[in-house]
Amino acid sequence: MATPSVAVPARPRGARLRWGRLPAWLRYLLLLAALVGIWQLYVVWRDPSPLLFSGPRDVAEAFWAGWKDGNLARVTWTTLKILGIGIGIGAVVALTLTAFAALSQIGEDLLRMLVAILNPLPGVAVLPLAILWFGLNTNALLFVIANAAAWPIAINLDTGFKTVNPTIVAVGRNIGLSSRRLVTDVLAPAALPYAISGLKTAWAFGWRTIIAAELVFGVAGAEGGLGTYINNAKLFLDIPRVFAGLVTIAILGLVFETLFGFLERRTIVRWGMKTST
Amino acid sequence: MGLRTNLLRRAVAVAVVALVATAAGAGGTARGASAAPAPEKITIAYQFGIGYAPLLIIKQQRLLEKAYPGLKVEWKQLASGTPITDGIIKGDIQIGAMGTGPMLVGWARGTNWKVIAPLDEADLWLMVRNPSIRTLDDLRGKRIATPTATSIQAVALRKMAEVKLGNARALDSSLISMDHPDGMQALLSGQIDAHFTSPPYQWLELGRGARALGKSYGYFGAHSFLVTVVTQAFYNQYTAFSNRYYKLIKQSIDMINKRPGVAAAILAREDATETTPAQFKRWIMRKKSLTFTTRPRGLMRTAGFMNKIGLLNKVPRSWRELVFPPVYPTKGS
Repeated sequence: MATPSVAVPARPRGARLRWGRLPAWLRYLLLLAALVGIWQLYVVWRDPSPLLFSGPRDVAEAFWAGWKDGNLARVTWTTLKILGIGIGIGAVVALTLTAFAALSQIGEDLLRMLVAILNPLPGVAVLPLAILWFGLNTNALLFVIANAAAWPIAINLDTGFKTVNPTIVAVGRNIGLSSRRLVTDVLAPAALPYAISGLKTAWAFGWRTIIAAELVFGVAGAEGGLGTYINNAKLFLDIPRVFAGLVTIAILGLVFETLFGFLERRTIVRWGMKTST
Repeated sequence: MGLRTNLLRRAVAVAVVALVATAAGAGGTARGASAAPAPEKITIAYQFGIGYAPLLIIKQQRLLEKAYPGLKVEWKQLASGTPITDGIIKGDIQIGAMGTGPMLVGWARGTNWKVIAPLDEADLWLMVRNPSIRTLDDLRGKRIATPTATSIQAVALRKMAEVKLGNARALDSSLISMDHPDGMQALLSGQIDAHFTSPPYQWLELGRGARALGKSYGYFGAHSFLVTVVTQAFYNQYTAFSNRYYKLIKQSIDMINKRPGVAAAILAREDATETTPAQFKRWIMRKKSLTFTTRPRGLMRTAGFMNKIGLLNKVPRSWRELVFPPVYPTKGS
């Protein structure tokens, strides 16, 4: 009498049409090609001023030229370097605070307080203050990135620590682990899914913050990163290069999406802490 | 009898022109429509410095409004040539006052503008305050402020770098964008190491312990500093107005050169700071570093250099390609 519940659909979605049968990479490629086609059509049909908008051909040319002469590679590396160091600093701060919070009530209160005050601050809003304190140099950028990264990591890590299976913690205490070892050997691995989630969020915030901060910063010249590259291109009214910079940002976003997925599959998915990415 | 016929003829001509202009205007855009006498509203943008004096006199004396009753003029003081370029591209600004640097960059990129009236020539100074900075080489890795990366100051800096350091781009990584007042404050408070600026800021900084590490005239010869531009479309549509505007600028420059006391008093009234008329008079009479003229000078040389180091992708064949007809008789370069 009981109707068998179907947990899995009888056939994959869209399988009636040929679309669903195509492999994932091909589907995405075709969609991308269609979008680029629409872009090109718009440029040909509406003929917008080259000072305002560029077509895919010009952007591709600028993109290729930028990579060939090494400029795009150099500025991308500069941005990633600052971003990496900034997130590193933020992660260290977050880890310290969360460990403290996991082990004492006052630490918990301190963490809650700091998160409530500092998390809502957008990185770019802190930038003028950072410039005042640290001067017109990379340190101001690092401070802003660290601030943008620390709080997402801290929040996620804190949740991670709190949702650790209390039985495991009890076992740890039972076998006489010191507080420090409790944190490093029990709490930390158990909180890994949350840590990675926090890292992903910190990365997204940090990425947006540094591009925006570089644009606000307005440093022109060789030492700048991707945001500066885009800003400079705009100053010289080289709109294809502006678009090429944006395309680079999009590609990097994709690359890191993939990298994070890879990391997750190798650790938490394999360990059964997350079903799939 | 003859007069009445003439008047009648003129009245008919004006009526026809008005009809055609209205018809064309009603068509939606003003692309190459028959020239209207003057726009109803106009936005003029300028920046910071005494170099804009001819424009400021027009502003203070309301010369445009007097010449065209009913004309609404909006004045905007912006930080650098960059927002002015954006404004002209977008159509928010009709007359833009900027350095020759941004003017050339825009011209080469297809903004379709030209100089309607140059304002002056000026020797631009690279100011430093720290006694340990003795040569250009000492500025490597330090912070140098210019109004924007395309500014004539930034171009002059690259010329200095090419001559003194062998590489025009050697100091590129030190460039920071700041408008002149902010830059002056930053230099005097030690936040930046060098300020490539213009009159009167360079003189003010000189008086407050800074010194000039280099001067642009030494590298480019005497050269134009500020110009006012309008788009080709604007000139085509409002030719009479543009020509009149050129005449008003020339008139103001004549006043500055021939009656500096009067000009200084006007500038002091226009100015928001507490600078006295006597101070203005001293400034506008420093003819060695600042000369008000509608003759453009050194445009081809500047363009050639900018093209050589990759800041400009197109070079004019003659200076006349950069200016509108009223400027031709000045025999510029």
